[in-house]
Amino acid sequence: MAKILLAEDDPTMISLLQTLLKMEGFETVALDTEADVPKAVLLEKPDVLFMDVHLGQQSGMDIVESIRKDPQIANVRVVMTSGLNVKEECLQRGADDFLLKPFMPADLIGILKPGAGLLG
Amino acid sequence: MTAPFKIREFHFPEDYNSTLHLWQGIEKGVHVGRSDTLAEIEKKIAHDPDLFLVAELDGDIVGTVIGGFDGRRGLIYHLAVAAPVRGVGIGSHLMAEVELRLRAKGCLKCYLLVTLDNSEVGDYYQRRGWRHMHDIHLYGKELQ
Repeated sequence: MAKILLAEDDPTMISLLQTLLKMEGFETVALDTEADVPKAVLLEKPDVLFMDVHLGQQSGMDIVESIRKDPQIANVRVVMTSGLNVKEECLQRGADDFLLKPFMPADLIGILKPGAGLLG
Repeated sequence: MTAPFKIREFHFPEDYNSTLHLWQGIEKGVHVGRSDTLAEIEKKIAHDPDLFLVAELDGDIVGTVIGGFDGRRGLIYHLAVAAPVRGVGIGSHLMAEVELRLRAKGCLKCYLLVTLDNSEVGDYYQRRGWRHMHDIHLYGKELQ
């Protein structure tokens, strides 16, 4: 079962994603907006980190950059999301993929499944 | 392990009879009325087919939810799960799917109606982030 670490500042979205992803066969761990995301990646060892660009007072782009610089966690797959189309900047900063909000559930599953590769 | 049931969009008209059968078997909370005739469902499907979802298990329709979005507010109708398969997450999955689809359409706020004979489902919805609105009166009018 692929594990998805959710770093998202919208509690309603977190709740919906947890329900959806659980039913789709993923294990999910949700972080609060103040969480130390790189530390959580180290501890949880997720298959995918799904992270909002704006995470409370934190910048998802700074976080993904710091993840890529840490050899212990640098290889984790990171999918970033935002209501603004900042895909290019996210990819440049180190994200593997980007999903523009609002997204359809199938788009999310489609982007998570190939990399996670553990379903079915 | 993925859920044994599949969430998909309602197929018109081939899903109609089994869906109607499901609704008619729900003990309370789903009132089958004139908006549920084949012609009315066709009208609904023409408007937003991607918001009418069913749960399918072994080829049978065991759950439904109908979402609506008029460009300002969303509405949820006919969340129904067949009694023998309740408690395994079918309703939660249907609701998560339709709520995410409504968000994807730009819907900011959504309502659902709970009939007075089914008020015990309030806890179910409140656990999923829905708030009982004490500050409004709901009015209805038959236009046709």
